[in-house]
Amino acid sequence: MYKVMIVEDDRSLCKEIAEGLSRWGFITKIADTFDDLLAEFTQNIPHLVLMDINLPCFDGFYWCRKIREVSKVPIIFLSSRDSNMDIVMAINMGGDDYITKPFSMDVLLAKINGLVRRTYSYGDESPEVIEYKGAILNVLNNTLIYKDGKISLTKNEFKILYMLMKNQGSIISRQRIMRSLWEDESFIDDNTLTVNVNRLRNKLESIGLKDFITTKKGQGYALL
Amino acid sequence: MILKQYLKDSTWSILYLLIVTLIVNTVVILSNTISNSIYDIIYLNLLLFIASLAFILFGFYRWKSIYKDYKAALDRGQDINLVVPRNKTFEAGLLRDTIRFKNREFHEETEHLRGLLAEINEYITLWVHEIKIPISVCELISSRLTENQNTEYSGAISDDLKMELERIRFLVDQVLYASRVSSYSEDLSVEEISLEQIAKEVVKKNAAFFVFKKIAIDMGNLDYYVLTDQKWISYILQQLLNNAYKYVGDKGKVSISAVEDEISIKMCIRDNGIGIQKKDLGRVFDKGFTGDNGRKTTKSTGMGLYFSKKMLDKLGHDISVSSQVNSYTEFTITFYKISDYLNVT
Repeated sequence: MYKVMIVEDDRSLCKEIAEGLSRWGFITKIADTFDDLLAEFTQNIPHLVLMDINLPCFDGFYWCRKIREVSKVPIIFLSSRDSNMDIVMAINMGGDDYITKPFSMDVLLAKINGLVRRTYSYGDESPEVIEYKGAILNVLNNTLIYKDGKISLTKNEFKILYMLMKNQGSIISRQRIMRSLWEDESFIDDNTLTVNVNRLRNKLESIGLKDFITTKKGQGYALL
Repeated sequence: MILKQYLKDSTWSILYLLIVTLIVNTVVILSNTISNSIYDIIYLNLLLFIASLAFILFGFYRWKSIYKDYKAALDRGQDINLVVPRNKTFEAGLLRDTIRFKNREFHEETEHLRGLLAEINEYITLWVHEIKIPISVCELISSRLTENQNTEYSGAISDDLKMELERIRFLVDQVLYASRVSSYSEDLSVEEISLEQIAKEVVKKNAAFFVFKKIAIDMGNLDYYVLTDQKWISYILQQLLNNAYKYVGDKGKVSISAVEDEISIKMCIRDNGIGIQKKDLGRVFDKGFTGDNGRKTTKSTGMGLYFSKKMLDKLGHDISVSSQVNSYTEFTITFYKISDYLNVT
């Protein structure tokens, strides 16, 4: 379990980030006082710090420098300021990454996971396989094993199946699948998605997984 | 700078000369002591006339040399500060003082307005940063909604909410960029940028729009590098894509491609939307121009393309548009190659 300290003066944003992170297994600590963040930092010793720039009293750059004097903890800046100057400053002051608001939870999580993995090299804790009803999806080489059968998936097919298996039991809308595929720079259109899903279904059927993916008309796809 | 004007200005001197001539003539004619033959009188008058003419012509020449450059600059609308008369005459001095006084007045006025503009810009920037926080919160809430689907509809609600948030984000960005484009201190950093990378980033950033409206994206060959400011060009691309998104219907398709010729690299953004009428085509980059399309969709401010063009001008790029009603609209951004810049000057 990794502890993330959130330094942000907007309470509702803090709450949302904390809630989002705790759903993914992080322990969160929201900074309460902004006049002595260093004391709060040393009392809690988090594994990672999310730092806003515009804070009461001193700004995020100041606290980043202060923390750097005592610790090498990864620091991600989280700010609505987007000028080149701010980004350069943030990295020069010892920040490890810079995310501009508004951001999506996915991006934040990806950056946090990346930094945590690099800093604490846990590796073994991240699951390399996902299992559902006996079908095992291998994240490292994009293959699916079921009983004696084994199929290899294309990038898009893998991504679709990965999303469905990760959110077992809930419906994933076509829009959400497409947005996520676009995020990986495969800008497919609506028809191509249908083709991809059909091809995936045929592949699944070939190793005996008939009706693995359920279509919910007008809503999306699900593993039920 | 004609003689007539000078003569008009020196009416009193001429009158004075005439009166002097008259008095001299009268005295000569009335006096008996001098043998007043008619020839002597003519001779005297001729001398007086020549002397007066010489003075008038000399005066005219001097007058002309003082004001010639100044008048010419004024007529041609050039900078008059460099050619202000330097003579010690009272009028020239008055002119100098007036210009100095007016210049200072305008300078102060401009400074004042500039200050006000900077103040507003500063406020807009702060406000945009401020509003981004609640937008972030909404975004996180919507992703929370995506993950805990309690009811059948929460997935759809979350998709719709995401889409609206994208729109808010786009509009808020537009305010920020609009304030920056008119401010005196833009933060520009020109560097070599891959068109492919920038196009992908912008498309990714606006994925929600395209996915929502089921618009297909077609990326052509974009393997080119151009010198430009990354943030601005991505904002401009976003603006063009947003326009494309607004004006395509069902089976919409947007293609992004680039071509290279001797002097430039051209990037084309083409959609198969409703197109722009011929009569509107020349005016789409004008401030506040919305055209028939803008009025039809009622979501147009007519500012997006205006600011894009303004910014592209500043960056030294060109933008042009071609279109066919109900068939296509194509925007072309021309990035001139650096060698061309050097040849121009």
